[in-house]
Amino acid sequence: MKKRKMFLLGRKALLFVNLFSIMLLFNIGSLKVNAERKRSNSEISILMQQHRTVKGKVIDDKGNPLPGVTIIVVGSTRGVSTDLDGSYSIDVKTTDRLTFTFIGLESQTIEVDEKDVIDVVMKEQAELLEEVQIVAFGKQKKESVISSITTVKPSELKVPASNLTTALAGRMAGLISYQRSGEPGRDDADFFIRGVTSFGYSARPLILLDGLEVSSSDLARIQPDDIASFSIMKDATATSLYGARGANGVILVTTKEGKEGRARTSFRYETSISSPTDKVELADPITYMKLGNEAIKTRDPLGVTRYSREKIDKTAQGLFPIKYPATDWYSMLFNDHTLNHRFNFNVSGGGKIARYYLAATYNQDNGNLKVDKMNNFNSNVQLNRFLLRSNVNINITPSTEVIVRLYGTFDNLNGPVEGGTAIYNKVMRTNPVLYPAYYPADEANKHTQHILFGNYEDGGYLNPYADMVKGYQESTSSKMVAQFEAHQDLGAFLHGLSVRGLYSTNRYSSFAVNRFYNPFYYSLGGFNEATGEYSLYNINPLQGTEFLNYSESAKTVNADTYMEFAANYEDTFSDDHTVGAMLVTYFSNFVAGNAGNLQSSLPRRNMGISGRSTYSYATRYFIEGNFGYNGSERFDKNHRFGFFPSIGLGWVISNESFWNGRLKKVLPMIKFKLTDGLIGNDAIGDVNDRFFHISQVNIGGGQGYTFGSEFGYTRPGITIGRYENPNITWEISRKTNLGLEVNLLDMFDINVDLYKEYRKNILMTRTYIPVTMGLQAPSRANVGEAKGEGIDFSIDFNKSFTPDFWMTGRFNFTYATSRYVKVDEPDYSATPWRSLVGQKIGQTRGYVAERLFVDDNEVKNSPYQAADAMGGDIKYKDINKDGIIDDFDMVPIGYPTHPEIIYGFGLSSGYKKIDFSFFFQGLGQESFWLDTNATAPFIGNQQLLKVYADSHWSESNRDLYAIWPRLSNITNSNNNKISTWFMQDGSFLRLKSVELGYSIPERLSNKLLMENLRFYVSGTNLLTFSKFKLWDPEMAGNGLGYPIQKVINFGLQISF
Amino acid sequence: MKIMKFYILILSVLMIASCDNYLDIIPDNIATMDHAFRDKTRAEQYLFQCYSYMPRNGLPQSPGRFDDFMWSHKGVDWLNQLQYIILRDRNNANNPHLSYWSGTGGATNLFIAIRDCNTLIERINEVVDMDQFEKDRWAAEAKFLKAYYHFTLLQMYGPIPIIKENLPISATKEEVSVFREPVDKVFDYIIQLLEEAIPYLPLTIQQLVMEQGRITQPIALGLKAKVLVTAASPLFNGNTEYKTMVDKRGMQLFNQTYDPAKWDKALTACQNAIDTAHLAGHALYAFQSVGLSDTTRLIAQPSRIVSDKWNPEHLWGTGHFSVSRMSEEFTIPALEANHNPFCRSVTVPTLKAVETFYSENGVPINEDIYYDYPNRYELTVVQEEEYLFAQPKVVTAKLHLNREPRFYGSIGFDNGWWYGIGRFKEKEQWPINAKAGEASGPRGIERLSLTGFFVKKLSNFNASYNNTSYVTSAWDFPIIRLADLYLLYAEALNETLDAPNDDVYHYVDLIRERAGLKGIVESWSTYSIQSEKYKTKEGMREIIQQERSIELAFEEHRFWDVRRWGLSTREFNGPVQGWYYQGEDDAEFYRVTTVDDVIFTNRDIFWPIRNYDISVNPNLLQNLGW
Repeated sequence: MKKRKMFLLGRKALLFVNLFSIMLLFNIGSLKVNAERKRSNSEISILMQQHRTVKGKVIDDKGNPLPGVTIIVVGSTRGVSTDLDGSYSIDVKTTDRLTFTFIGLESQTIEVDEKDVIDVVMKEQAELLEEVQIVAFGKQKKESVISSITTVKPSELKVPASNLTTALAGRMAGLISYQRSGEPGRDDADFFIRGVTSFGYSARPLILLDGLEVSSSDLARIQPDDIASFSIMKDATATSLYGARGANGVILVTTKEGKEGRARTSFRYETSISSPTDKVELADPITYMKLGNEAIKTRDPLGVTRYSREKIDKTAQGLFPIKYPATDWYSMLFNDHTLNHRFNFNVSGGGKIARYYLAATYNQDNGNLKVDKMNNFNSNVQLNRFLLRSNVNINITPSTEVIVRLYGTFDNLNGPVEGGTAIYNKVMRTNPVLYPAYYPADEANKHTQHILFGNYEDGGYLNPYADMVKGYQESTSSKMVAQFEAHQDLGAFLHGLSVRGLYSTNRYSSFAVNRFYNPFYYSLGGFNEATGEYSLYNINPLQGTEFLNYSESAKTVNADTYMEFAANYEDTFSDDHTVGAMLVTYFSNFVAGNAGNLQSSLPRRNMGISGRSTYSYATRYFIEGNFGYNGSERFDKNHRFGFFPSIGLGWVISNESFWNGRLKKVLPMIKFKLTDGLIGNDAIGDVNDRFFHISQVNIGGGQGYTFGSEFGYTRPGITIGRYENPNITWEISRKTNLGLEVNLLDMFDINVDLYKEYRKNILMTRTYIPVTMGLQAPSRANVGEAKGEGIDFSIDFNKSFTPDFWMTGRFNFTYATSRYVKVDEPDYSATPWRSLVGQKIGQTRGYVAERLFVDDNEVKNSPYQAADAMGGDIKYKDINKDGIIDDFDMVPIGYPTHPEIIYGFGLSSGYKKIDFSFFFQGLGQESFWLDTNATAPFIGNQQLLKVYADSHWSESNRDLYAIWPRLSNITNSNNNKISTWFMQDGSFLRLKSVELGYSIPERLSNKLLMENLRFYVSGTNLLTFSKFKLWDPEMAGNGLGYPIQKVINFGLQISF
Repeated sequence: MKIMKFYILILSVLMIASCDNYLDIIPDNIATMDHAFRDKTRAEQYLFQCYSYMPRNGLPQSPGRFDDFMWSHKGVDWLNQLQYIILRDRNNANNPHLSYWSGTGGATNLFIAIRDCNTLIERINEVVDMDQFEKDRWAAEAKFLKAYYHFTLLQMYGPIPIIKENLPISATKEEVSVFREPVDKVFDYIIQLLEEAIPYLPLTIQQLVMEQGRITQPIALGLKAKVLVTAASPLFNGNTEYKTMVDKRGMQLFNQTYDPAKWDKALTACQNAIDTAHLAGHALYAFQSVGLSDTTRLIAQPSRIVSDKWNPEHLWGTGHFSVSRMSEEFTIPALEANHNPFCRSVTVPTLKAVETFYSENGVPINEDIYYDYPNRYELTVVQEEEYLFAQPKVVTAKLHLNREPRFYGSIGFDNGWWYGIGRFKEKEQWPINAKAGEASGPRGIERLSLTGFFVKKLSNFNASYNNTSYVTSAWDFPIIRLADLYLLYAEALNETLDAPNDDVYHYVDLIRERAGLKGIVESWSTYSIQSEKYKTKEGMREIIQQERSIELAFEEHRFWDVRRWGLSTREFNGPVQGWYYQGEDDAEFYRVTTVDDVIFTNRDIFWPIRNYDISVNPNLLQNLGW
């Protein structure tokens, strides 16, 4: 209790601090602007005495008038400031020079000469425009970067969805990403940098938000409006500084900081209509019954059919729906579309001393489940998400800067007790013709208060409608992040030296409570077809309740702290020699409050020292050496630290003296890069299986036994979860990258990276140990090896044709493939196709299906497959020709289950006030399987997919290439094997997003005191092209779950 | 220079900061194997863990559960997990059913069990707060279990590796790639373990409330008798079918010459086991009840022998897996609509089991001169005086009438009675009406008897249920009971003699007498068309085998017995039959219907070793035919 209170107090305190800082900074910002306005107004009267007058208008680079620009005659104290229209007039002499200054914009000095009108366009300060690249633990000039890093403009990540991860696919070369579910709150996409090159437990990249490690669901919550930069780090020099944690690549996200200047506010509101991209089509109830009978009879002529002729006929005629129900569970449970809302607000600005960026976001995502009117509670999925961010930079002295970032995300998720996906899955497993969702009250139940849910026999059947409306789950999760960072410039001590420290902590908590009643199930007792009278029979009088019950789900609480100290040095000697050095040490600590067992409850820790030194000569030749020296708590003392060095070389050929004239015009920039190095990975084994050097013994965790004359003396047993092995250590990755950056005609930016990766020390189970050893846990060692290779390719196009017409385009392509090189497995030299060596990682193994058997005779005369194989079942290829289909005949089939190719392309263009953009995204070389367990009709009352009804083998129609083999009412072990029969091509191309915007003319917006007002309509997932038609191909094998959504969105953007 | 200065400065700072202790997060006293043997409480848990690997005796998942006497239907998916699938669909080497070798297909890996037993035997002496005699007793229990697990594997696989001691985790590939040992060596090792254990085991359990069910001397001696009888039986004694099973070392895994001395050893062991059991107070059980006719008492008796908990006939019983409740749910028919939620009634007797029980004269129905064997499937009306056997005045098959009490006590049939479940007056028993549409008939596609018969024996008549609750009256499932030992004794004695003597008859007659039947000599000479059968060794062997099958029917013995007798390809091969359970009237229902056709050849006698396990350890020789 006490801890809980403290925790709540802590949360309150953080909220308070956050609010306080927001208020404080609003004040600082507005005070500063006001003070400047006052001063300039008072000086205007003194300047009226001069005889020559210059007039003009000051605008920014977007053409907006700039009020409050200070104009001072150089060498004097005389000056004016612009009015609301950005106009000014000032008395001058011809020899005078005027300086235009405005906070956050670059000052300009202009000679008056004989000009009467001086119009000025003020641009953002040059230093902000200089292209810098975010690199590990810092920034570098873009030109000098030789690592392979892809950066995406945050604006490209703005899709009408409140989940950032769903926007990533195809946007960045080097990132493989796909989304499998569309349920709000559970729709995070999976993503991998340069594919999967490990077969350990985690291939996930390290995600750093402002330097702090976060989870992919945290990334999902980040609002694109708040992002300053989004980069992925792919090669050795980019990631080796992260040592232990960087082997799977790194995603670096930084959030915006305030810029000097007046408070700039922007609002964005979006409302969207969301509907499934595709619906799974089911067979009609009549077909269901007919084929249901066929499924029994075709396997066992003696079997009892389930549906009588009378039932089928009367259902078809639509007679007596109470006795002969035909329930369309899909439309009974789900709406076609739903409405979502998103609201985003941010304000930024500041002065010389302090700058701020504040943002608040509110998103509401609704599911498409129906709600029964008899309940006053909402059991539909509804995700309310609230985000608050405050980033404040304060210059304590000219050389000292302090940054405080406070960030909180708060989710409230409401939904059915089991979640939306479970409801979708249940619909697939529910019989459509045995009972309705609920019965209208019969005579005896006239006064019954509860819903008379339908069920059958002993009540063991599924009624998804009852499961959906019986109650609701309320879950909340919150994450609070507080970050303190200090920069100290030590230029006084050593030119170019600075140090930096960062302390960051976050707290996460989530919990869920369920409130639900136990549905009363009824089945039909009697039915009088003459009068239509009927009586119902209550199946579960004891279990059913009218009142609500209550249960709690697991709660999660955890805390994460991170500390980092870094020193940076950079200087240029004799103009041509630039040297840089950076050293950083960091400590991270993660503890969970509900780890479940002692060993998991111990903190997860990493620490390390990393360094970078760079040298460049005349911005032509670059060399860079990096290292990471990292420790992880997971390993034995002797193997705890790993050393991960890397080196990189770069050559900017376009800066050579011979590169001139036309060459320079056509190819203004061309750079070659080569990097090579090692990176570690300590995420091996399993998240809760960390301490390989100590054994795990579960005292009281075994099954134990019961003795005693009254069966009353039970003692739980003792089991072993892991045997100790002190030699287990880092998984190591060697990455080599060859890159080329080209700028063509100042219009196209082309990036090509070819890479190779070699992983070794992958943790594997030793397979030479036979089961006769009697080990309870596998014995493991760092023995696996794998290799990966691929290409990342991107072209950016950027052109303003006229001041009114601009166009940008982008094309990305990622190909990543990986294979097993060394695997601990039995000796398969006699049957080489059984070996994993050389097989692609993620590729499935299975049987090669040839076609369906013609008849039972063919089954008899073919290699033995399974006891239940009959004519019309799948015929497999006997790879080793031993006359029996078994393990020895399994081969790698298809492509991996994660895509090897991801690509995307799109164009954005603007003409005057109208802008338009679209983006296509696709993936290729991915296979998935129709889940035969989840789609097999009639098994446990499972529904019948329409395609199966239309195309299956039957005795009357012996289609040897039908989609579904001979029907069966129980799982057919022959057809249930993984084989090429149910393999599908997962590739698709889709119109991922399209957007049309219109900004109202300035005259109008100025009148409304706005800087900009823009309306837009956008859509996602509007079109999909794929060979696979049963459901959205991106859901792959998960197709019967909550569908991916197609969204049409209306938005409004306002900035002041 | 400047850079050097920078590095030295920074490095020295960082080195101080990076103290290695930061990563030392593992506190002392993390649980290790040492903690399991520090005190008695923990060591007891370890002992219970050793017990926990027991095959699921008494449950539908038990390997011995389904033989040619007990069957199930396959109408719904979960039923395919029942182990009758081994007979129906045959096993496979890819992913074997019920592989106690690999721990797959619904079984536990018994090598893990053996490893745990070894650990306990090695380390029990480290415990400080235990007396030596107690340590010895626990080690003896572990040795017994180790022997039992070896024996279980031997019954399934034939030759198996012997795990005398645990190999260290760091053992090399050569060390861990063990060989299967010849069956004689395995039998010898099992006997050696039992002999080591027996002196330290208690004769009886003193602390019944806490320890009932733990291993005693009679149990160990009983197992020893069974092991030695198995070793002497045709499957393992000079079985030339397995001549070709010679492994890489050139080792012959099955002995090739019949050795009659093995029966002598088995006989001595049976004698010892019976003597010690008597000494410990074990005796044949007889059901006593006031107010019941002798007929009803004898009919209720077979189920009481099994389900009257811890009755003196049980040498070894287990109640661990809530066996009794499971057994009942899987066998009892719904006798009225209220029973629906709890009666699965899917594990049912086959027609073959029905026909194996004797006639009322105590001889096989096909030998009984008074029994109308050729017309047994014809219908007849139950006479008023037969009211204790079946519902009077209704039509039923002749097969159901004129049978021995054990038949009525072990099997429920259409138009018969069910005693108990709240009805304890013999004139108010539950009627069983099993035709389609009747209370005990098929319900849906899941709850039905495929043959129209029900197992009566595996339930306690004190259990009770209605549509909302089930009140269990728990009992222990007998793994070894005295009748089993008597019959083993008779079998072993018969094998050692040229012709059976009175002692052979005596031990079989003890069982028959209890069942309400006359002795062998009288029965056969009076009622059997083969009136001399009992006089020859071969004839007596058959009589003992049938007696065993009847007395121990549905108790998971026949599955193994038929194998060791070398009769499995004859007995298990062929059609599985019953009445036509979908029949709604007499004419439709009382038709003998084949529900499955079993193919059982030599290769099906022993389990296959999983293919993968042979890939891992190429020293293992696969069983024949797989």
